[in-house]
Amino acid sequence: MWPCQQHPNPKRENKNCFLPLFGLNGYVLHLAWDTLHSGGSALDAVEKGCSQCEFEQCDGTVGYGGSPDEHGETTLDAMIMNGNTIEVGAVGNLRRIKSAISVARAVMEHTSHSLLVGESASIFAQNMGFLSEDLTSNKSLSIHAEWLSKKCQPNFWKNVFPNAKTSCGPYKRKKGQWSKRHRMPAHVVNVHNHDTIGMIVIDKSRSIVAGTSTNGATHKIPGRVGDSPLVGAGAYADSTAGAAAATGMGDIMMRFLPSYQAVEYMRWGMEPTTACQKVVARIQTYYPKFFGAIICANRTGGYGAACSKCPGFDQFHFMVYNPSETSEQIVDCI
Amino acid sequence: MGSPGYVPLILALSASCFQADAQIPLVIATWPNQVAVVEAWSSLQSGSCALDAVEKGLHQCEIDQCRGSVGYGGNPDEHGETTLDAMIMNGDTMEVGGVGQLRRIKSAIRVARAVMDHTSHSLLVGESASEFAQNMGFLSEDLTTNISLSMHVKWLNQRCQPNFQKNVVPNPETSCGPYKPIMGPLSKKHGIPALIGNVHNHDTIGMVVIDKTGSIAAGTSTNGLRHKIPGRVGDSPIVGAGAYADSTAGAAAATGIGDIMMRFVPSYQAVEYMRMGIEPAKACQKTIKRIQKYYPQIFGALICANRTGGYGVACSKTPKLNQFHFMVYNPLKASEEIVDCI
Repeated sequence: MWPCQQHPNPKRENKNCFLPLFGLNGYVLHLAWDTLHSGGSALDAVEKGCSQCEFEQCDGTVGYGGSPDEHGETTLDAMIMNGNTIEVGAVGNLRRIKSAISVARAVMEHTSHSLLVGESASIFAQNMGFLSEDLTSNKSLSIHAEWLSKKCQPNFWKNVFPNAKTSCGPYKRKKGQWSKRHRMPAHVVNVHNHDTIGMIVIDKSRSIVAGTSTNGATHKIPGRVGDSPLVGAGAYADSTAGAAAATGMGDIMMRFLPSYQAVEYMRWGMEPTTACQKVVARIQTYYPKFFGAIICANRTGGYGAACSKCPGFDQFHFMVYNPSETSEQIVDCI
Repeated sequence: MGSPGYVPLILALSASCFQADAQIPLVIATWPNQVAVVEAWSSLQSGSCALDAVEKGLHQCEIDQCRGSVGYGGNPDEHGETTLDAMIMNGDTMEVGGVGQLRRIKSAIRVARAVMDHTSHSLLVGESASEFAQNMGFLSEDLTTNISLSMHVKWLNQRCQPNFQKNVVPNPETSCGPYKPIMGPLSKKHGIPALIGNVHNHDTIGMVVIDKTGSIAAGTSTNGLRHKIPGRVGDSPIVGAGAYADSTAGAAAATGIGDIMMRFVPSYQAVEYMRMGIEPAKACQKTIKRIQKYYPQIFGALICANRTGGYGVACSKTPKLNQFHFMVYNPLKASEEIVDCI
């Protein structure tokens, strides 16, 4: 078995090639690999891998008990995309259900829709057999309490009163002249409050699947959905071209459809690293210091990654799995 | 860089390839929603920017319940409730505001604008979006009317046909829910209910406006798919899917079976084509064709405009749609136009 990128003997087929993921520990990757190895599909592998992160609360930024919103509640976003059929299943602002990626898969397999949100998505999940339970933990509760005691800083409000930079809400619209500046909270550039898990898997039949799962931005306004569950933003997969997945400031990144664009670049024949870099550079045209990264993989198993350099973030770590070792790779941000 | 859209072009080249003289300001919108376009145009004439014109135009459709597919009192979900999706995008700054599954608030596009103006986020959904709206001063009210109620009752009497469930029991093709998932091998059929490709349950209003300074804005508003599963959000409020605007390249907006179209991010792709210099009509057609590779009979249409005011429209031919009507206002015309579908 060889790593996905290059094989010393180009004539030899790459079997079960497992592709870049980021933000996870080796065990999660191993689990996803095992799923493939036992005959599971790429869809199963992505679901298993992301589920494991939801269960383990990877980095506090996936699954229950992390990143509480302004009301102290943890809500989840996730998506899964089948690169063969271009089908998608996703959930946004999923409340009280732990297994967001599995609910996303249920949306894909049991409905003709692509995205279900909010309380209604939770009802759907319960109908599909998922357990309704509190996603709050002592940890998320204390994160929330600490935030309240810090006058609710940072937050995601602007042009409101009372002044969102110095005070908690509730807020009302400010009349008169507004600031046009996009307000990025000062502390938000922190790898520990913006980490989606994104995963790409290519199986031995060259089927490509991508998926994401996250509990979103810490202290988000309730109901906020970021890039993760939005097709083409958080992730994209097309077995004829490649796949990509993104992490970072989703509110901004989603406006540029980075995963979709990266796959487009690879469709034209661009190398994955270059595809990733071009996408990051495009976002930087409008937001020079945005916090974000993207991983890319093409249909023959080449892969790459790129990230945007900003204070506190100048390297991006991601994992590539091959059966004899789990390798963590690093790219310098641009 | 962009094509020379200011070069006068032959009008109505063919039935399905529509090219027009490039002129700004421009208002173009899906379906013959005249009230919306008139409102947007007169807003421009009074000195509004593109963003304000889009908001005003779409809001008019929400008030008027355009074609029953925008605003309150239409397209109830499986529980009989009307919920709204909308987005607005500023092509100068690339900022976006969107709401999905907005409950009990009538002015979805205005709430979307508030998301853009008063938060750093791009999309708020569900019950929480309604709370945000109330904080922003919007009135909470019932979006159900006698019409939407009777649509729902009729649907219940038809054994809940059509619906969007699949691989569940009881059989969703013959029975109402609630449903449970089928265990074991799943049907791979997409399960697009035969009846849903119907012009009267898929009519998002999508609008693109270019003002006299060349700023471009785009937006959408809809009450979504009739009898949708509660919580379903389609393409309309999703940036790049329902609409996209980039003042350096152009803008596009989509309508049709959003669940499918959103997987191809059509508005974003159409703008990318225009960015590369492809004429708007061609950009729209190429995008539709890409979707047709996977879904040959997709019900959908796309309007496209480039930065100099050239515009074009394309639609996908299906048994129920072989022509698509849209509205155009620019200094030379104020008219409803038609393209043949491809």
